[in-house]
Amino acid sequence: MIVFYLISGGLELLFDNQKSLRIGLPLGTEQTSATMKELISFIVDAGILKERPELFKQNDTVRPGILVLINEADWELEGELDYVLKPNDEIVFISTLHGG
Amino acid sequence: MPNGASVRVVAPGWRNTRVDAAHDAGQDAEQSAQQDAELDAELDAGRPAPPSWPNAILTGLVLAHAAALACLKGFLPALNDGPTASARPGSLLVLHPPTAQLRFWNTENSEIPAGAKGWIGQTPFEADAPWPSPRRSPRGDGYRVLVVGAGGIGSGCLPAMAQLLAGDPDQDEDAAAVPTLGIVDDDTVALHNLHRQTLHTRGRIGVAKVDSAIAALTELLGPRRQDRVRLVAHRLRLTAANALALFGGYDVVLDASDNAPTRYLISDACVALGLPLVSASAVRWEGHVTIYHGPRPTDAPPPPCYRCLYPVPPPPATMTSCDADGVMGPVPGLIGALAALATWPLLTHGRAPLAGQLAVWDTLAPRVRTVRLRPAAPDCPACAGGQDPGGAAPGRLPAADYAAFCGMAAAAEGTASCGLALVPPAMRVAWEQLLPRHGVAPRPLALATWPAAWPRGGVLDVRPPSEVAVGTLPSAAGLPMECDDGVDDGSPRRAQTMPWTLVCRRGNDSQRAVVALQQLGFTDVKDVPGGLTRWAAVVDPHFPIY
Ligand SMILES: [Zn+2]
Repeated sequence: MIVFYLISGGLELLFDNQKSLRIGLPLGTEQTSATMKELISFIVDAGILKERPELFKQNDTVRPGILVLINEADWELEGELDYVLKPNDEIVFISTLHGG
Repeated sequence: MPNGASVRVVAPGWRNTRVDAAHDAGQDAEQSAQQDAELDAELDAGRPAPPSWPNAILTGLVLAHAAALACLKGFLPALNDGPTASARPGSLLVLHPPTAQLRFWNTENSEIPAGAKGWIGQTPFEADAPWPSPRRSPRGDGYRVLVVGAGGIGSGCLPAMAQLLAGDPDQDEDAAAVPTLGIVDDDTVALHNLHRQTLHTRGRIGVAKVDSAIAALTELLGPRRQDRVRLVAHRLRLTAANALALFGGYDVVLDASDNAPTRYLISDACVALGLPLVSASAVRWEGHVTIYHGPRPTDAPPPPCYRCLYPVPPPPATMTSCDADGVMGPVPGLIGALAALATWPLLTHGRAPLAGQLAVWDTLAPRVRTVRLRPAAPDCPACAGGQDPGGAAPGRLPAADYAAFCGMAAAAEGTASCGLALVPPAMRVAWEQLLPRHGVAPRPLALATWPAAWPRGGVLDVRPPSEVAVGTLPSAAGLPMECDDGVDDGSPRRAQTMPWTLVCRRGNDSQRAVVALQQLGFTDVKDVPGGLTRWAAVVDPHFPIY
């Protein structure tokens, strides 16, 4: 399964300054596809995240202050961690901005 | 081109290109074509024929040009300088939502033919209705708009808001309803952020930002219109103690602030008072604009407040700011201008197309991504699912200390507003206390004298090398795990038992370093609140602050 995801709001600094990645998920089977929860764990465990995992993931989900978008919608509208990924979904992890 | 004519920067079919973020309803092509014809008839015949470029390219060029100019100077005076504008001082740029036309109205110039002035075209929400005034509130007096922050975003939105509220001096029906534009900021103009805070000038360094902003806006509005907006300076730091009383005098609030605790406070105060909140933020290459707790759309659930979206404050280490993380100068200006545009339908129609949506600009992947946000959360301690007016507890804030709520210390005087509180106060030492701690006055010592001058620990600069290169205390040095303190008792002292005082730029990283050294077994490590920024304020005014 291929998932396209983007990182912004400064989070890309944790990803070796990569803003967009297309990854194949070795998760799920023919019967069960991967969920957002598994994607977040995969990003950390597979070494896609390059440093300071605590600034990305806390308690199986993203840390406070990261907004997750699934195909241009707030992930809370899509089931959050339980959302089942589909091929070519666009996932965006975006860090809150506080500056002005 | 005839003198004083309006300039139309559109290509044929422009109105059909998709550039209008605020566009609420579709418009059928037939009606569009008819409007085209009407508008063409109205406009003067002398306008230059638009080149037959693809619309998208022209659209992009014009928008990029307008955005760049807007960022540099605020919307309107800049256009007077631009190659496309024969408009005179005081011209008004209108991004017309239904058809996405850019039109320039020279509201200062009485030579404009009467028939060519005023609002033309459909309103965004009701077909064929005239544009309601962005000046006169339903109460009959002027609207009251409050902008919190006269920094980078304020520099983008304040000129645009002032122009919008001032309107056209030749439309007398609005003359009696004088809108109010309030500005809150407790900071003074400084050189190091003028690249983004374009409302301010080098000549006003040291002046209160609110006063500098009002000077700039007064000049911008010019003699015919400066009395048509009441500009009010609130030179104060927004706190839980003063926010409700201050906001109570306004109809809408724009958040152009620069730190997380203030953003929670502004949102909570707006919810408690039932005010819509236009929120803009920017860091590095990116900016966000949305409307929190805005008017409830008839066919949608109530939009969220800031707390609905971010119920738990982010860890202080991840809080971003333009000073600490840097920002491309035009980004906050662009985002501020977008925030002013988003305020417009809120005033004219009491509706907010951006409520419930977040507009995200990323310079490096350049487009405005507009995403749907979650509805208001029923268990939100502030808005209780978008209850209006007043949320969960009308007229009251759900928190008393927003800095503590966000895990931050109250800001020390002379330091940045956003202070990390990682180590207890007992483990911090002010510059003035270095003499009793290290036996030396807080003045630079030559590095060559180390460690003799620092027989028992010393002051260490923990900033990254790129920042140390800007300027440092000559006494700063790398920290050895073991060192010879000059006492010849046959055994090297362990550095872990010596007193060390850590400094950084503003007193945040030094706290993290204190924690890190403690984990390595250091027993007497402290840091200096405010860091080198504070050093510049109390010891050496020539120290380079960045
Ligand atoms: Zn809420």
